[in-house]
Amino acid sequence: MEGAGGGFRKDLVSKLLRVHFTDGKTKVGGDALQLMAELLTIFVVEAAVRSVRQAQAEDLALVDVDQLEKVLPQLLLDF
Amino acid sequence: MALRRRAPPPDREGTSLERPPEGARGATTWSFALCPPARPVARRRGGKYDALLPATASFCSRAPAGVCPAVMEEEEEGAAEEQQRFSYRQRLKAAVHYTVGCLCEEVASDKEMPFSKQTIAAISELTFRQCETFAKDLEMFARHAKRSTINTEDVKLLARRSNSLLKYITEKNEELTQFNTEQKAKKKKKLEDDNTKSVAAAADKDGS
Repeated sequence: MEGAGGGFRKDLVSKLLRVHFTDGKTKVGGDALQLMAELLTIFVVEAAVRSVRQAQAEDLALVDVDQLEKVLPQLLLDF
Repeated sequence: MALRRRAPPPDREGTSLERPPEGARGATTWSFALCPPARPVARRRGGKYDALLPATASFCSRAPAGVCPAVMEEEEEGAAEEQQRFSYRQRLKAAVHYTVGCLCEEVASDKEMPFSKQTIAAISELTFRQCETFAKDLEMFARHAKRSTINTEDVKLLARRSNSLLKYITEKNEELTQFNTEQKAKKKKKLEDDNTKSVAAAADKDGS
């Protein structure tokens, strides 16, 4: 699953994290930011690929929310 | 996690989505980025996703800021700030939605299996909520280590749940540190080269 051309931009990840910080002084290091961007990219790609696999297992031509729902529990447990 | 659903407004793109019957799972419109905050979402009776969480982050169920002119100054300011914060979150969610859309398009073309719009919307909502959990965890980890800056160790701790994920993140981290040291070495070398060049140039000048 490497070579994902798209990915989360570092400024977006930084803003996303900062919105949810409870302490104003918390900052994110540069390397940590890059790793977080990778993590979020993997999260999205995992969700997508697992849903595709579920749809393929059910012999469907389109990935719908039902397939996502079925893979959701394991996905959240893995993250 | 409560995935909120509501029926699509009738003047949406001319798809074949008919208004779903009450309680059934119908099409959701991912309209947070396009519609202003409207009346609270009507809860469907027997809806599957209602009960779990007490209306956290229900981005589509906030009423707009007070309109009555008799509202006190402070309340207005508070409400305006609330509105601003709210629209900031909306913009963030829109940005996440765009990125998620791009990633899903790549996966879809790779596996030759298209995604429905609702799925992409659901994944972006999922990502946004998961980000909140990640952020709080990271902050706690850093605070536990008596730091105020989150570093890579915190991120690695965050990825501990799945072995393959942890391995991947650790490898990425090592790649990153290696890249950084290479960059530093390059910079140092360049600096040294520049120094020697300038020294040589000065010596030439003196000599000639």
